[in-house]
Amino acid sequence: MPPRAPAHDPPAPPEALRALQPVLRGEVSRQCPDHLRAQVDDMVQAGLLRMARAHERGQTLTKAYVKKVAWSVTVDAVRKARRTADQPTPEGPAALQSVSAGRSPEDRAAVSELRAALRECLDALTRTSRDVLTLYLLGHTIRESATRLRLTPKQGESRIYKGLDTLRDCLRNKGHQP
Amino acid sequence: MNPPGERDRLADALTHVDSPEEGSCELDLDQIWAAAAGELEPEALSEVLEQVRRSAACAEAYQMAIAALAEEGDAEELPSPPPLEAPANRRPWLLPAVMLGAVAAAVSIALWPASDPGYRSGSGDAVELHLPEGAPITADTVLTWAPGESGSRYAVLLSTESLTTIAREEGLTTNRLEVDPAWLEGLPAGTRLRWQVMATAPDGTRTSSAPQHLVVE
Repeated sequence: MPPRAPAHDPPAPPEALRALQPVLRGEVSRQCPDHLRAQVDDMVQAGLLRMARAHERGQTLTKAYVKKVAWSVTVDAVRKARRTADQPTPEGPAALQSVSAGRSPEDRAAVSELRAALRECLDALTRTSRDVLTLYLLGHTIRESATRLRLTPKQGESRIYKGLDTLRDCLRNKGHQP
Repeated sequence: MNPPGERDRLADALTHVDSPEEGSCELDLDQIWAAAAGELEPEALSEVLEQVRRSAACAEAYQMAIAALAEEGDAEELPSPPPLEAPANRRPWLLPAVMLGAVAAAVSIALWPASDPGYRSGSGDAVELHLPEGAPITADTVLTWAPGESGSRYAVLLSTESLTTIAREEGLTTNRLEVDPAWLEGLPAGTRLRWQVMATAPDGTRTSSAPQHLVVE
């Protein structure tokens, strides 16, 4: 066994972490998908460890940072749940279904096909149109999508609507209803 | 304008993970967060978006970041952590057990390996702990877990439910750790503890176990 860490090693801020725990828990609870609700405690613990390490590196613990930590542990939990569901278990299909939002195999296949077609159609657009449309489809507002690419809101709106028109035609030509 | 539901359907297709390839994301989560938060220049953002279009897992993480950011007051700074103080300066009227726990927590949390997968994606398979959930822990207990790749090193963290650290051991070269009786001194029977293992492979890849509970006998 290696030597134990001496008790006088540099301290971390357990008091501060305890104070931030409710904030982190609130964020994790807000961001956590329903099928992972049972894991909130584990996610909060993982988040606290990350915050302790970040604090040691000199990171200021703002509400925005706690939000980011909550997001990162949630993403990790979603990915882990998916990896677990992909492995054969006694629950098998049920486990996979919980991650796939109850989709039938046919639905999943249809979405996968649409995804492949969408990617091809996006690739056919100009880079700026492709990027602004991707931002919009991911959930940004038109204004957010435009400003992130240094476009005016008007320019962004124009590119998004024209891009959507082109995308619809492209998808229909590939046999998909957008 | 968009037909009803069109944007949702297309967003769903972008983020739909249905194969191992789609479930893998090469982007660092920090980059995705920075992109979603509007912190990247257009050129860097464009590179992120390229990956997001290629990987449904990246797109999913990006979409989750937008949802996470969708709240006011992000710039509000939380109260600063209290000044770091040496264990000897801690308030003497606190119960000795609480004192020891706090000091152990400070030391242990600070020294828990600083570069775990953290914000990186693709952390690999989790370390499997060999003790069942809720197993009793005594001075004779040996904590064991599934060995990783040859040459792996392990770190073990044992803490209370309130995250006061009881023990932290690093640099272990075998997949076992004997409980030190001193760890359990002063802990009432029935106390629930959490333990977690982090493995570091020779190439630096880190994987962690999910936390599990042990009950003091």
